Amino acid sequence: MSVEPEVPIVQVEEVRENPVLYKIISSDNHVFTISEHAVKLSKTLWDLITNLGLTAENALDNPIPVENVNGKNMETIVQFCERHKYDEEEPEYTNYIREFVLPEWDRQLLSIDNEELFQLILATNYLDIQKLMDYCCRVIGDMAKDKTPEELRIIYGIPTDAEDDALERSASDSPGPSG
Amino acid sequence: MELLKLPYLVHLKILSCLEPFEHFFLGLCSKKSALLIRRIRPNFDATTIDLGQYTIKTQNKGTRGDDLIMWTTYYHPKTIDLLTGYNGRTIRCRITLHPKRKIPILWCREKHLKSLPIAINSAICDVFNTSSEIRIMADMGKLTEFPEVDSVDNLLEYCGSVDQIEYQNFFDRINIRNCARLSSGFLVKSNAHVFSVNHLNCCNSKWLTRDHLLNFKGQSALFQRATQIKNDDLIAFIENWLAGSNTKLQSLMVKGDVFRPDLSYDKDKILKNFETVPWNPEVRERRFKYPPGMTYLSRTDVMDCAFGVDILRERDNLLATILIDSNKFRFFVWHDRFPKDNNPIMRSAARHMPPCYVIGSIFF
Repeated sequence: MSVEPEVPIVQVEEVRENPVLYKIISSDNHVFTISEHAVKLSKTLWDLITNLGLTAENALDNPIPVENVNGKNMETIVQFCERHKYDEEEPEYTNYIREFVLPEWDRQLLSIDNEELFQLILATNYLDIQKLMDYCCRVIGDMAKDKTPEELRIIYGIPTDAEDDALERSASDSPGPSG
Repeated sequence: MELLKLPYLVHLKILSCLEPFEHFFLGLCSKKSALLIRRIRPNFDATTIDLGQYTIKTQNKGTRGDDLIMWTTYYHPKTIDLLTGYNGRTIRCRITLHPKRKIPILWCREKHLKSLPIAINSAICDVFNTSSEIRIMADMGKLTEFPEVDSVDNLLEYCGSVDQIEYQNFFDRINIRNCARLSSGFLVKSNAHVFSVNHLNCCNSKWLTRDHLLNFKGQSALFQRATQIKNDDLIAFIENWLAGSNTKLQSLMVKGDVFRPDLSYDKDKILKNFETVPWNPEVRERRFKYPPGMTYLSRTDVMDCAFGVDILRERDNLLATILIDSNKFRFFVWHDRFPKDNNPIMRSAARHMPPCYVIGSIFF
């Protein structure tokens, strides 16, 4: 099954410019096409493409399997990369991430439930997409606004000390590989 | 979402999006979340409880600090167990956000008012793993709200109106472990505990007498506006040091009345009573090094002892330098005659009033 990402604006530019496209297969066998400029936002994918020696001629014939990312997340990631492929390179936000304003388009893209966001972050981390990671972290950070510790515990899925202790006890009580 | 299961670098990014008080709240969630907060290391060195402003500040070296959290009393049914287990008690608080200062306000019952600031401070130190010293800035006009503690590490007091007896009782009751800065200008008895603190800084010392000077048992003292202190008192102080066995004193500075130049100290009259010698670079360093506990930031290099005279206490070979300049008296005892890292520590020429005193590494 193939899920075609919606990238209408970008496609126009692709026709105008370099049309090199790559194919990516998600862990659940969804196939995506992504432009060269967009895929470069992922350090992992671009290193893979470089190491595999994929070129404009053979790129579409050699889909890249990405075992750690499912189709849903990959769709979001492809959308994001296509949207931002011509952005100027920005320094890492780590030290001033609190200060930048998240663009509305990206805020909407990342308006997903907590669990999906969690999975998207893991995927983004694996694919090493700095900008998307900054944006996701900003969204997660914004969740803490005006929240009490108890609300934070629920939002961020932090177990209580008692729950942690119970988990550790059950882990130590459970039989090992030989038991 | 399971925040704690995300990779470390992702944690770093997420936590960089949060305000310091949000770090604190996150750290209160569980021991593991506190561990996460500690791993990113707090960007402050210590906390100070400002009782006058009902605020806890976080401070870095060289700064007056940022407000982290406020507290007050006004009970509301919508409360949560915020500081569970503090001294065996649970303090239930309601949390709101200050509309302008954008920091949280914890609301508690009246009965917790004296406990809450210390409880919050203790929780902050636990979460961030910072120094658990208790530093309090206290408005002495609100002594009834002073926390239920017998001792504090550093105390800065200020006030315009306070009952004299209540004030003295306070200093009889409270034990100050390291440093006291007294701003009120109210009489302190010469035998009060506060004259034994390591570092004493009195901004308004109109009450200071010879007895006080002779009774000081700490490492460093700075008495400003000491209008009662005259030449004979300073002579008595030096004689007392020479004859005594005080090995603790390192620095004592007295500033007289800046508005009465006719009452300046008479250098010759004081020094003729003692056998003094000018600075010899082979005997001691030029610049005295402040005791590590407290530093007084002057606009001039007050530690420069090139023009001071030295006096030796023969019984233990301790050398002291005396500097007398107009209405300023400085007395430095060289426990280490050639100290390292004794670079000048100056008050910066800032437009706004900069901090003048450093306790440990913290402006206070």
